[in-house]
Amino acid sequence: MNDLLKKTPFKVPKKYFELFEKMFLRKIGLIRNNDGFITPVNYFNTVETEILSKVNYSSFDNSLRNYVLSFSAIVATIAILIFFEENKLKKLELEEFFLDQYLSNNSAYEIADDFDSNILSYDLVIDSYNSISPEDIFEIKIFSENPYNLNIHENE
Amino acid sequence: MNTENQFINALKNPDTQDLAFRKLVSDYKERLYWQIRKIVINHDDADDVLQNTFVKVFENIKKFKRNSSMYTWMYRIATNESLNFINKKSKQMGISGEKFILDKINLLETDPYFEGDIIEIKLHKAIANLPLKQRIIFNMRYFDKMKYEKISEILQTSVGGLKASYHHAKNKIKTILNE
Repeated sequence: MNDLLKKTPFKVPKKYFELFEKMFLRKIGLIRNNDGFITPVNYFNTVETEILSKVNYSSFDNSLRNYVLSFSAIVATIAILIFFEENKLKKLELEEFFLDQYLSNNSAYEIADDFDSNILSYDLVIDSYNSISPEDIFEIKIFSENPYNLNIHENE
Repeated sequence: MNTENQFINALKNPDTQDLAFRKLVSDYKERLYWQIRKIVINHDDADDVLQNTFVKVFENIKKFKRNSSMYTWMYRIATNESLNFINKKSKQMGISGEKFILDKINLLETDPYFEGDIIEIKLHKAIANLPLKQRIIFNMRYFDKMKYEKISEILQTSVGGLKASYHHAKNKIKTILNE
């Protein structure tokens, strides 16, 4: 039997048995095929610590803070615009109110006089109330009272 | 919402990003390392590029639009970082990127972090003769067995162009190995 084995004509490639294990383990996926490249021992554990030490979490927070600040600025701008728009509406309301007051508190003759002199306008109506302080204007508006409907004149 | 989406949300959330980023590094460090290593060849260079890649990933995670998978996106960053590294180093040395890599390949035999046999060194030398982008395409297709569609997504090149590049690369390598 031994003699038979010694005489076998079959041969294996050079370094076949040295390479067999490596090739076989690669084939069944136990060794990643890195084409000869290897890393220092324990490299993947140490590199993780190095990467995490290089990352600056505060820079991430800062950028987030910048987003928050930008957002706040936009909200503030919108609020100011809304405020001015509302004020514009309030001014219109006030003008309408003054006009109502003018129409209800002046006689037809007085109004006709004003028309004749071509001076009837919102500005005129508002100007006529200029002498009243802003506090009084709001009070008038809230309580619907004015020097005329307080019947001051009647009592006199 | 799938797991990857939840993970990306955790990376974008300042309250959970620390833990999520640790997991990201732990999960992807090896896969990215080997992609980078095949491009830059030398371990120390691959180490530098890997660290830069993760720092870039961290800095840009909030810009990640989820148009591709997380890994594809990171793979693209790693590839770009590797190419930038080669361009920067080769410029500093006043040589081409291809020459820079060829010099690295010639040192493989004495590299303590390379244990390939003569055939593997010969193959790497042949690959090093390819233009940089062709080399990356060859690595992805030949070593990583990546589909053309995936390579196209990473390198943002048409599938047709990739097939042509791979075909040319294969022929060049065959010619060099037969010399």
